[in-house]
Amino acid sequence: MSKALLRNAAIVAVMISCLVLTAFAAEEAVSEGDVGTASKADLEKVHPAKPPYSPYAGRNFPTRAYFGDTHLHTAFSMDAGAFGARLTPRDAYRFARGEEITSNTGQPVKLSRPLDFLVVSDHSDGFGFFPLLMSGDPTLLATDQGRRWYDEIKGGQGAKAAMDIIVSFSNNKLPKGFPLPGTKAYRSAWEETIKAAEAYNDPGRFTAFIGYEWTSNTGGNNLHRNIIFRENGAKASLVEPYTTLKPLGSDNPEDLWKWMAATEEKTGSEVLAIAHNGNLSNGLMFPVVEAFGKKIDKKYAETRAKWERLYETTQTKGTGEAHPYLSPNDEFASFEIWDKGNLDGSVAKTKDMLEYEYARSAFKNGLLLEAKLGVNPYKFGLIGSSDAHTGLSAMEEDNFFGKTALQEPSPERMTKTFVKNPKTGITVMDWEVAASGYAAVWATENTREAIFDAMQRRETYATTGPRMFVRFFGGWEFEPNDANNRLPAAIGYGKGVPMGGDLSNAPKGKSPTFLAAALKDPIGANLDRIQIIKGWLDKNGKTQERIYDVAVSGGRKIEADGRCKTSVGSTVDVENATWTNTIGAPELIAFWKDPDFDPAQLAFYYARVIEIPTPRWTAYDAKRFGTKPLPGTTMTLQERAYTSPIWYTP
Amino acid sequence: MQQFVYSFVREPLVHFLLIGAGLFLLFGLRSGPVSLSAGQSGWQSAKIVVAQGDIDQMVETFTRTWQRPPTEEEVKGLVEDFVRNEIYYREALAIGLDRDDPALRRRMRQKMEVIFEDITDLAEPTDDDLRTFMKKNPQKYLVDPQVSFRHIYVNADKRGKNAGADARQILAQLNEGIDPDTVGDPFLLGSEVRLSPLWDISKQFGEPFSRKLLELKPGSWVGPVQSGFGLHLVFVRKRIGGRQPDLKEVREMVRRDWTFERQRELKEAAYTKLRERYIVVVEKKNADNRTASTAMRTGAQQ
Repeated sequence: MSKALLRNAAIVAVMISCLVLTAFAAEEAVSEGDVGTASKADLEKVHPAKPPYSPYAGRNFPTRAYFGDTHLHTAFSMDAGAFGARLTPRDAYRFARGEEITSNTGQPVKLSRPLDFLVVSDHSDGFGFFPLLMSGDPTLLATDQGRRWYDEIKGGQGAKAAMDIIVSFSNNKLPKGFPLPGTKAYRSAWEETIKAAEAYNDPGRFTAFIGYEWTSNTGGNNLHRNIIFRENGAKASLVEPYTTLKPLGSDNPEDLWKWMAATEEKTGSEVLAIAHNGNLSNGLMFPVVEAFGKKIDKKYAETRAKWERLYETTQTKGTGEAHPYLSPNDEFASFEIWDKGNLDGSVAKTKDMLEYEYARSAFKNGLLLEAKLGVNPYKFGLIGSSDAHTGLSAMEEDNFFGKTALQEPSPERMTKTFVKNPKTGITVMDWEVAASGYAAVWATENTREAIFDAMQRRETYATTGPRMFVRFFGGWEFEPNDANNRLPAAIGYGKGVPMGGDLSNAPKGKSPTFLAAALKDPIGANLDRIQIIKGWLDKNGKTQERIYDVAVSGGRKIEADGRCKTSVGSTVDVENATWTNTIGAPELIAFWKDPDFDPAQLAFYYARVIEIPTPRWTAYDAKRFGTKPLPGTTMTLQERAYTSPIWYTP
Repeated sequence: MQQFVYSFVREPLVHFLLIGAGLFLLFGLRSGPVSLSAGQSGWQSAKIVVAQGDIDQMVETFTRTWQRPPTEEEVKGLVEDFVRNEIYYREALAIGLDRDDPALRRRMRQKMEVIFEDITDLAEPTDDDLRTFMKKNPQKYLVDPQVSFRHIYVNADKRGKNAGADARQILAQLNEGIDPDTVGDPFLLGSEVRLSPLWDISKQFGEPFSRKLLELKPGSWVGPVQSGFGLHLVFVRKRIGGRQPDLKEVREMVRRDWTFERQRELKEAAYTKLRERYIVVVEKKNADNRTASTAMRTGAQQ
C-alpha cells in the first residue's frame, strides 16, 4: 500500500471518527476479519477503492502486537530430557495456548494469559535421542557413555548426565547409536513435532509454527540458530532438520544457509534462522574479519543478511543487547549479563571477545562492513524468547518455571549451581538464570503467514517478559504535534517506516525524525522511560554510539545533552515481593529529531523502553519458599523492551 | 568400592571366565531332555529366514553410514551378522536373559504404549462422539461474547490527582455532544475497538476491563472505567452474547481434544484390562522381620 493512500486513510479515519454513532453498519462487515474467517478477497469487497466510510478501511497496516516464543525445548531435546523434562511438543502448545497443565515436576502451572504464538524448537542433533535412550536402545546402551547416562538418569543424577551430554556434544564425542537424520527414531521424532504443530495451529487465535534448533557448538562456543518454517506440515515433512554432526551436517552457519536455500527449493516453504546467545560464543557470533577460516566477504554478508533477519537478544541464559564494558556510559547496560565464558564454561571470556557478541556492537560493526563490502551482514531485528528446556514458556517473574526441569519452583532452586566447569572454575548459579523473554511481532493477523512475514520485515521487538506495546517510526516529516495524534499508528505508517525499516535519500537540510510510543503491559508495571539509541560510522571510519532519553515519566527533566539523570525511584518491597504503580507512567509517547545528523554517515536507531523496578523471580522465591538468597543474588530488575532498528543509508 | 567393581568387570580375564561360564550354562541346559530353544517346533527344526526386505534394510543402513553401497563380500558379512544376532536373541530369550534386564523391560513397555497410541490415532471420531465430548466440557468451547466499543483514555500520569475529576468532566462533555476527538489523551492502541471476542480484548486491556464491558449499557458514554492503563470513558456500540457453538464451528478443536483425551483413556483402559488378568503379590516385612504377602487385584475384584 502506498504511503499516500495510507495518509488519506488516516485523514479520513480522523474525520470519520467524529461520526461515531453512525458507524455500525460498516463495522459489522469488517468484524468478520477478527475471527479470521473472511478471506482477503472478501475484505477487499467491503473496502472499495474510493475513500472509505469506515475508519478501519484501508488500514492494512498491522494494528496488533502478538506475543510469543520462538525458542522452546521439550523432552525431545536430548539435554532437556536428561535434565528431567517429560513434557512433549503437544504439552508445550497446550500450555502456551493458556491451558493449565502439570509440569515436569508434577506441579500445576498456567500462564497469566495465553501467548499468541509458539515455535517448539528442539535440538536437531539427537532429535528423539532421549526417548531412545530411556527406552533402553541396545545400540546406545552398548556404549560406555550411553550406559553411564542411562544409569545416572535412572539413579536420579539427571543433571550430571545432562551436562555430560552437552559437553560430549560440544566436543563431538557422542556415542554410537545417536539418532541421525534418516533413521527411524529420528524421523518419528520430527514427524511428531510436525504433527503437534499442525494439531494446535489455530489461525486467528493461536499460531503453532514448525521449527527446530540447529545447535552448532564446536568447542562449547554457541553459534545456535532456530529455524522456522512459514508453511504447513505437508511441506516441512519433505525434509529432515539439518544437524551439525558430520558427515550429514555441519557446524558452519554457511552450510546451514545452503541447507535453507535447498529446503526452500524442495518444499516451497520459506524458512528463516534466528541466532541467539552470542554472549556464549566467545567472540564468534558476529565476526568482522573471518569466520571458519574464511575471510568475511560480500557473499558472506549478503547470504547472512538474507537468512538471518532477526536475532534473539534476550533469553534465560542472559541478555545480549549491550555490555557495560562496551558501553560504559549506558547505566542500563548491566542487565542479566552472562559473561564468564562460553556455553559449557570450557573457555573463559576475555574482554576482546565482547565486541563480537552483543547486538549493539554488531549493529555498529555492520555499518563498518557495509562501508567496506557494500552490504551489511548484521542488519537484523530484535526479538526475545525463552530457550526454556521444560516445554513451559513461563517467563513471568512471579510465574517463572525455570530454564530446565530441575529449575522448576522448589525451595532449593535459588541456591544451586547451574554450570560448573572444574577445569576453568567457571561457575554459573541457578539464580543467575533470567526469567526472560518473549518475541513481540506487529502483524496484520495471528496466522503463520502474517507473523512470519512480519518477522521477515523485522517489525518486531524483544521483551524481557512483560507484554508492553511499543511503536517506533522513522521518517523525515514527523512533527512534535504528531505525538498528540489520536492514532499514533496511522500517522506513523503514513509519514514514515516502522521498526526494522530503512531510511535513505535524506532531503536536503533535513534530519531524520522519529515517533516512539510505549504502553505498559495491561497487568504489568508502569514505564520509566523511552530511549533512542543511535549508532553511526563517523567521518574517520570509527563506530560511535549515543543514548537519548526521549520520554520520561513523572515530569522529570531531560537535559540539554538528551539525558534524564533523575532515577524513577523504586517501590519494591523485596521482603514481601511487592511493588506499586505509584511511580512511572502507563504510556509514553515522544517525537524526536536527531540533533547531530550528518547525511553522509551510515547510522541506525532503535528504541529501548524501560519499566519501573519490580521484584525479580528470586524475590518471589525467597518470599514463597522462605529461602535465604545467596550473597550477591539480584533481587530486583527493570524489565524492558528493545525494538528492531531503523537504518539510515546515505 | 564401586570403582573396584568397575575395573574388575573390565578385566579381559574376567570377561573370558564369564563367557566360559555362560557357555557352560548354555550347553548344560541344552543337553537336558527338554529342548529350551525358541520356536515351537523344537531345537532340531528351528529355522531362520533372512528375508529380502531384511537384506535391503541392512544395505541401506550400510550405505548411509559409509556413503557407499556394500560389496558382495560385505553383504555376506551383514547377513551372517544378522543370523548371529537372531540366534543369540532366541537363545537368550530361551534361557530368560531378558527377564532381569531393565533396559529391555522398559523398551517392551514403551512398545506396548506406542501400540495403544497408534490404535487411537487410527480411530476417527464420529460427530456424535464429538458432541458428547462437548457436552461433557461445556466451558471449554464457549464462544466468547463479542463487543465493539470506542473509548477515551484519561492518562493519570499526565493529569495526576485530577485524573478522576477530569474524567467525570469529560464524560459530561461527551454527553453534551462534544467531538470525542477533542477530549482525553492519545492512546497507542487507538480509540476504536472493532467487534472482538472478549478473550482478544482481554489481551489488550486486561481481563477486569473486558469483563466490565459486559455490564455497560450500549449506546451511550459511560465511565470512568478502570483498566491497567488508567481511566477510560466508554461507548459500547454493539454486544453479542456468548453461546455454545455448533459442532461444525469448533470441530477441529474438539477433535484434537477428543483425540488427546481418548489416547489417555485408552492407554489407561488397556492397562487396566491387562492388570485384571494378574494377581499381584506384594511382599512386606513385618515387625518381627518375617515376610508376609499381600495379594492385590484391581478391577475385577468386588
